[in-house]
Amino acid sequence: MIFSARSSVLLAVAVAGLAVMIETEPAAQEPGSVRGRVSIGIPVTAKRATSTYSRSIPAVALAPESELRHVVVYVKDAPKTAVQPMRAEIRQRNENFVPRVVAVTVGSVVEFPNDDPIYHNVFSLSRAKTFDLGRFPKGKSRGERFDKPGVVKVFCQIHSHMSATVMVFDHPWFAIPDEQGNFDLSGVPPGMHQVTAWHERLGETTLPLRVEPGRPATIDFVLPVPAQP
Amino acid sequence: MWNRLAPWMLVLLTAAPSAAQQAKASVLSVDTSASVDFTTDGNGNDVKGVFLDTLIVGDFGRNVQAIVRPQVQRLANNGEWNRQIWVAEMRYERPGRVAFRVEGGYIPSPVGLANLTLRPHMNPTIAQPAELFTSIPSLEVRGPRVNLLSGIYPLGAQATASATRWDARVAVIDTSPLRLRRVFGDPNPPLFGGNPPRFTNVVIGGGVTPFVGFRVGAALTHGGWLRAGESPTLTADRSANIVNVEMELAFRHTSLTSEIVYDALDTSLGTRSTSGWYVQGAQTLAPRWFIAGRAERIQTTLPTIVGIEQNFTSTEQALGYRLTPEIALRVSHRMRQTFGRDAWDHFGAVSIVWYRRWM
Repeated sequence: MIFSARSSVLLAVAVAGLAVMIETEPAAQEPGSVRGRVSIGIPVTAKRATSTYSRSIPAVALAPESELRHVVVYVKDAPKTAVQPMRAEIRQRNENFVPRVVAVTVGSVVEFPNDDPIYHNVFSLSRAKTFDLGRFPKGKSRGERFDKPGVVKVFCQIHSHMSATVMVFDHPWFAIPDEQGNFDLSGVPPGMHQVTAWHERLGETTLPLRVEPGRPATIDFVLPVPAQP
Repeated sequence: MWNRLAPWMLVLLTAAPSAAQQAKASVLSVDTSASVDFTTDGNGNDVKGVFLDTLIVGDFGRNVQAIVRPQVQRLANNGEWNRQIWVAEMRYERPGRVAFRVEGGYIPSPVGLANLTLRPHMNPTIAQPAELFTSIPSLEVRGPRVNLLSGIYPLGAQATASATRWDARVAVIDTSPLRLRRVFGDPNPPLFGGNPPRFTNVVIGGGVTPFVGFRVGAALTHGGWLRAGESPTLTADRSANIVNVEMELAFRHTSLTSEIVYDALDTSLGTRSTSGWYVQGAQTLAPRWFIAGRAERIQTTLPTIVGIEQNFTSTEQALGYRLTPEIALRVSHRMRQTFGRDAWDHFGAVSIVWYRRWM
């Protein structure tokens, strides 16, 4: 087949354009990151053990953890992404779940070791996972695998003040802040996102954020209300 | 709606001068339980019972607490509403390897295991153990009827010590565990229809826990149960001894409890005894499904020179479904052979139970 000169020019322009697109596409896909700090703006209380109907007396309460360890920051509108399963642990210690919040990827197993010299019962009736591990004594542990994304509230049938939360994600863009409240989500796809800070008792606060390719975007939260500019 | 309001309620109720990044233990602990029961018997008679209570614990620091438990109940047998304060006490509690507690006021009964299930969410079946509410034919000539071991909330004081393997307690109370006494009793009751007189009773009890999930306990109660003049034949106060042995066993998805009670009552005909037991079990079949059952028996004699034996036997089988962690539905069948009858009465019941720990 013989091409006309005009067709040849158009073809050359199209090929050149395609080559430019192919060359520039990796730069457009370079991920960004989300950094920031969470603080809690109001006093938070924890449920205490009561023993009105118990013949025995509750154990010594643990020194309270930082409430910032009970916050999960995540990209709310993140696309479903293949993720590696993790292993996490929630201990039953001095009639508390420690830590009270863990965040894992789908397919992960969370272990529930019992450190107390009494029975606990670990169960959940959440939509994302319904299970009952029964009672098991000190030194024993039972695990549960979480295959659906969502919020799984965990309780002890024997001690009403005990509760914990397992947050299960089908993407890798989530984090629990450190003791100072700092968090860093890396590899976030560029674009406009909704970023959420969730606390087990204060609920969730969501803010919009533009993530630029290859650059960190900063966002701070003061729970339970968004930080004022 | 409560999920939205809860944080702000926490702020209002426990406001601290400055924001903190560490949680403080709540000054107040509040929980509520409620149940609505529908029961029908073999003759087609329907009754409805309603129960609602709230347990409030206020912490004053330095291990001192105040506890109050108001309660309202629609009695299934006569439809009357009964409002009571079942616990109103001050408590000092010192945790540790050997923990110690002392409490005073209207305290939960220091006697018996069944008394610890007197909240709907704590009782796996719909009916409570019969020993708490089933009146025994009078053991005293023209005297009041008693219960094997009532669900009492006496005015008194109790000291408790406990460690991992044992617990012990001693209490002095103003109510005989044989006769139910209420804080808000009828001030001008018909004979034996209202509050009984106050009787000093002393309780000594304790238990051992050889391994986690298994506890055996016992208690001895001694004190008055009948006042001179309550019966025409009665010229002196009468006392009683109550012995109860209790057992709890739990493993995996199974829990078993059992109690044996023996009452020896001083009467105008001499010492008369009555005894009873129950065995109760609950099994979690699946996270939402459970079954529970109880078998119980009370043995007594009529107040005649030659005591004629009379028995009460009852069983209940229940199937439960946990709708949410806070709401459970139960359906049960109960059958009983009451004192002096050969026939068995059958009951069917449906119950919805709600329990919420607010803070």
